[in-house]
Amino acid sequence: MEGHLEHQVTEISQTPGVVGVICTDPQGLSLAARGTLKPESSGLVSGLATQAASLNLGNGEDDKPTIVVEFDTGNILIRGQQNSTLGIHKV
Amino acid sequence: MDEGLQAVLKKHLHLVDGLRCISVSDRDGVQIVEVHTDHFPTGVIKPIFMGTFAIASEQASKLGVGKNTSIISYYSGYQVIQFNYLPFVLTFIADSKSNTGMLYSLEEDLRDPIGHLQAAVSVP
Repeated sequence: MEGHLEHQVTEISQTPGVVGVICTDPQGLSLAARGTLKPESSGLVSGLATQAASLNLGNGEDDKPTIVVEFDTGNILIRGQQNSTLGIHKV
Repeated sequence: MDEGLQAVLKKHLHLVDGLRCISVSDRDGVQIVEVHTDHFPTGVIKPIFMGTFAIASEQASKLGVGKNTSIISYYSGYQVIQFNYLPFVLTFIADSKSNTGMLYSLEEDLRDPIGHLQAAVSVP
């Protein structure tokens, strides 16, 4: 059932420059995780997406933001969808 | 010790939206330390409710997949996350729409203080 998701997450994690991928459900529980982004990070990734979405500037509920968390060593991109949140750690 | 743990729990109570109560009880459900927000219905944390976890966790440990470490229960109004620190039980009670993943990761920060409590009562 989750084979397709696992496949997609693996594919993203094999993209050059990507060192970690995580996908979470709306409750912040990890659905799939690869590399540097551990399942324990799922709550924070999902929480960031939810908090950022609450900044919504009147563009409707479907307009979800993409968040970039910048570090010296790389960026984590987070994008919330209706039923999941995807986090990608890039160097 | 008790006051120290209470202060730590109080600090963590405001870290996750919707978290209403953090409680440490013994395996029979007797409260040891508890912090909760204003207007929290304290009837929710009756000893019978807390004590049931120890039994449920013990039964879950017999499923042949290792020792049970936590149980998450969803209700219409609340979610309850309980961690097995036997002889102690750590309980988070939050709104049903709270971020379960964030609540779950809070436990990592509380591992040390509750570990100290476990060490204090363990028989050498």
